[in-house]
Amino acid sequence: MKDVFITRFMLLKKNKISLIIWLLAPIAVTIAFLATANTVEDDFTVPVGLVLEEETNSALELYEEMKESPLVTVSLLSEHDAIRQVEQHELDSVFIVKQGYEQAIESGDRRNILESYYSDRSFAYNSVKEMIVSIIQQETGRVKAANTVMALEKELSGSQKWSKTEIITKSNQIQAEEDLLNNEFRYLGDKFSSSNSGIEWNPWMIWAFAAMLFTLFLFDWVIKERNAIVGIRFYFAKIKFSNYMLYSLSFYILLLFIIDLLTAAAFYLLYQNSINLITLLSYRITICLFSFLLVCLIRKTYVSYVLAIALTLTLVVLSGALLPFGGIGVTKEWLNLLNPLSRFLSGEWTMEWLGLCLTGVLIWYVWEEKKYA
Amino acid sequence: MLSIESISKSFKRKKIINDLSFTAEAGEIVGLVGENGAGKSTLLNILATTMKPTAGDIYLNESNYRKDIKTIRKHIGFVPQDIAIWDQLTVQENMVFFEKLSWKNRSKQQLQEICMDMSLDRWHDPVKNLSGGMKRKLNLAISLIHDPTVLLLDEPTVGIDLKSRKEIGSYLRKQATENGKIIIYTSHDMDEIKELCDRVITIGEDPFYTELLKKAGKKVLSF
Ligand SMILES: Nc1ncnc2c1ncn2[C@@H]1O[C@H](COP(=O)(O)OP(=O)(O)OP(=O)(O)O)[C@@H](O)[C@H]1O
Ligand SMILES: [Mg+2]
Repeated sequence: MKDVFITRFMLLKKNKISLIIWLLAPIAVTIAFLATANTVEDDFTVPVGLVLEEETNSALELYEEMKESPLVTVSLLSEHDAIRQVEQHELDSVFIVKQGYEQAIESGDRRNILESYYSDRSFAYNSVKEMIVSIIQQETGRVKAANTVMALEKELSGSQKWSKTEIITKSNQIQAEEDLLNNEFRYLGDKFSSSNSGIEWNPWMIWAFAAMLFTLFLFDWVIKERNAIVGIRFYFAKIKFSNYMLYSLSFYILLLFIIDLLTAAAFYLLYQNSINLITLLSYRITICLFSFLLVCLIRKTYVSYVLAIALTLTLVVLSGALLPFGGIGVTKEWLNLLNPLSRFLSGEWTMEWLGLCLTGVLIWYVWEEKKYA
Repeated sequence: MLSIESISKSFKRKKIINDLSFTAEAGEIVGLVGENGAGKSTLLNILATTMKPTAGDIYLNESNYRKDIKTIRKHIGFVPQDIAIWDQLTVQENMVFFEKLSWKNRSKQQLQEICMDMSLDRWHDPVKNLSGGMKRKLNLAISLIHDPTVLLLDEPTVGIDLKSRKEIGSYLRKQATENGKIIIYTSHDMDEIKELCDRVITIGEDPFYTELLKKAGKKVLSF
């Protein structure tokens, strides 16, 4: 074992640069991907200004609701600043909540409560306006409902136990509870989409694809060494070629898992994302064994690169990761079973694949033994 | 003693070796001669256990090739016709690499001595920077690391300069006479064969080599 590790190290030393690149590529790709995905998302929010002429509850409520939206970034400004920024195209548009806003909402009067400014480059003005209108509609709807409830209560019982604020609070509470339920439901149904604030990328998902791809790239050593003329010398060595390959495979798994542990530490520090190390190890072993078996079937290194890319893309599509909101809708049970990544991402052991790959390696070993006997 | 008892080898329907028998004693250098494609490499591969004969038996001392293949392999030093070395490693690294995997432990100094015996002194040079002849020398040196009792050399000296060839020749002679090795050797260089070999086996239809070597006063066995 030790001798194999020494010789393996001698060969690796000659490919230092490509080795380091392939080892660090998954973590680098993940970090780069998340960084760009986040900036792209930020770029996609529309900068909107909001001017509050009155600071009543209803006005502040509107501000809070707008802040919740993943589509816009709202800044509270004075009227003067806001209009200047629209003119300079720093803001897409500006909405001014007029004095008497709350009063108007209470009385169900929706005329002249908002004023807006936009420029010829305000591409999102109409959608933002729609959004605000719907928020206000919701707000007035609630007030209207509260009024109705109170009127009914008065008519039916003759007394007034509920205040308007209580009813509105209750109504908000019910909505919040239902939202929560809704989110949880979607979370279980589809692991790759999340609810409120746009797309929350799971770094381990990106990593899982990258690890798969670059492990396959890294495993071109199997092809190179199986083709190498030096193979003939293993007939006369104290270590059989099949054992040499198996020890080397263990060496690679060990090396890669050390990098994986560093990756886990990095993701924890960067994204506060922790992972079960057993899950990680089983995934690592699975993709290493799988890559090993796959490249054993291939004679030319470039074929393995092409196959690696094709396979990873297939997995990406299967996992619906290209279309973050539910994929192409093929999240069927059996597809998930076929997809080793879905197991990994739901934090489970990749049991079936691990078993399958171990069996494969066993078959390979017996076959290789026969060849050398 | 290596005894080959009526072995044959066919690839598909094509018969390459037909009922070939001979013995090689310790201390003997046996030459193997024949035209291209006659089956010299095939025979050496069979003797090296990297190929199986279609029929026949081979014994190394008391060990049977069919039954004791593991022990036999420990005693064989095979120099393949195609150079089998790591191109990306240096001469030293190549020697250390195969020493690690070999049955015998050798010090770096001993490894360097083997290379010097092959008159290969570019110890620290990457193999890819070596000339063809130097690669051949290393190919030979690696096969000697575990101090094998049977040396099977398939055209080991192609492209090696005359002076080095003479040096390798006298090294092999010494190995045979002093250390009692069995050496079987193929070459297309008849001068080398005449000078180095105690006996010659010729294979192939054409009697050209048999006659040539007999005229030179060599003991020839032809198949
Ligand atoms: N694996 C194989 N499958 C089929 N035919 C083979 C195989 N190996 C060798 N042969 C054939 O066997 C014959 C003998 O080949 P071999 O390499 O033993 O010749 P050789 O005497 O060493 O020739 P050379 O002097 O060119 O090295 C050739 O006709 C070759 O084509
Ligand atoms: Mg040959």
